Amino acid sequence: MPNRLDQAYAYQALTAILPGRSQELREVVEALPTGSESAFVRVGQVHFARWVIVPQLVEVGPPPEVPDRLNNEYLLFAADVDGDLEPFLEALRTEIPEVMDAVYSHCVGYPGTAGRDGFHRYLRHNQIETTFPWSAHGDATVSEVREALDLRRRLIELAIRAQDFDPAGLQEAYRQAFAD
Amino acid sequence: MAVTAQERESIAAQAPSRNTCGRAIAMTLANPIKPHRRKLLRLNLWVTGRIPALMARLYKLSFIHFARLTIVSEFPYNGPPQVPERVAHEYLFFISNYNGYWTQYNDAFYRVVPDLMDLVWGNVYGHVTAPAGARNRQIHKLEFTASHYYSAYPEASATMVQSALELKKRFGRFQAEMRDADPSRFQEGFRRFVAEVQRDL
Repeated sequence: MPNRLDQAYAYQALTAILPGRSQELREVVEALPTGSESAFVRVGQVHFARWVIVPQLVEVGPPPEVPDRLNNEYLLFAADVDGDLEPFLEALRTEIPEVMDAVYSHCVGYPGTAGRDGFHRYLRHNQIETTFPWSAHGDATVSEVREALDLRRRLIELAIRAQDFDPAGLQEAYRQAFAD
Repeated sequence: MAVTAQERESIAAQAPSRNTCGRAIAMTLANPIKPHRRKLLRLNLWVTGRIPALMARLYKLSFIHFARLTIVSEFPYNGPPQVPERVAHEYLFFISNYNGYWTQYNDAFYRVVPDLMDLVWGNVYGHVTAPAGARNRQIHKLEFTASHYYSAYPEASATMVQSALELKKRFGRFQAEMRDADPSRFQEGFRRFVAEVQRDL
């Protein structure tokens, strides 16, 4: 199953944008809060995600002598997530419905987040099967990565801070740093 | 470890800001596949995934979090007013989440896995192999800019994630060993542990 990468799942979809709505969609997506305020924080199991507007295919040639021209503009959605596709789609529907509706209401045939089956069917229908995914840490979940990074940070801090501590002081500092 | 202002500036100078989230950078490319090469390309990718030595070299590209190659044979059709597509070529999409310098990222592929680059990119139009300057200009031309990009751990490079995961495994063992240690034994054990995991700190 090419979409699967260890415990992670590589989802991507290309969805046609309604004629004349590309600029409005761009404004909506570009105005979404980013970083720790991004809606994907609420989805929870997302390592990485992006929305890219594909207005046209880029001409690379010649060759080819005659470049391809798309009849529609597309919204590319790519995400690397923990677990299976179904819980991810459901989390998009239930955790960030206002964002999904604001974005995909500019796309052809979007049924909205109100109905579970219609929403899932739509994102599955527009899904493009991944051919070759890879990652050096696809076996770790988002929580595991965050926990590991936090542990590393605390350990570095302790190693620096406790260089001149006596044995009892070091052990106490260690207990405080890793009380949980 | 937070990204320093200098690092952020340097990264931002090389990648459009919408393609960045902390240290993470998004790359999105699409190249037309040469006629009758789809099956060969698919086979090459299938074989690559089953050759541990080749995959090991791919994992040496330690600045990649997640990446994927996708053959797009058709564009999903959702009914009117979408107009069905009639493109002459299939497309190879490359979607990557990495950190570091844009040009170093591109050059590293040719240094570490030149054979894989030929196996994959030799089947598409619009790929410049050398010189590096021309290649990077071409990739710039082909690259799409994200309108929204998200990383769950923007403060971390891919190497930091790898180190942290390795550290976590070893720390569990250290904790178990030191559970009942007196202060003196603990100090000795802690110093030894820090020395052993120094590479991952």
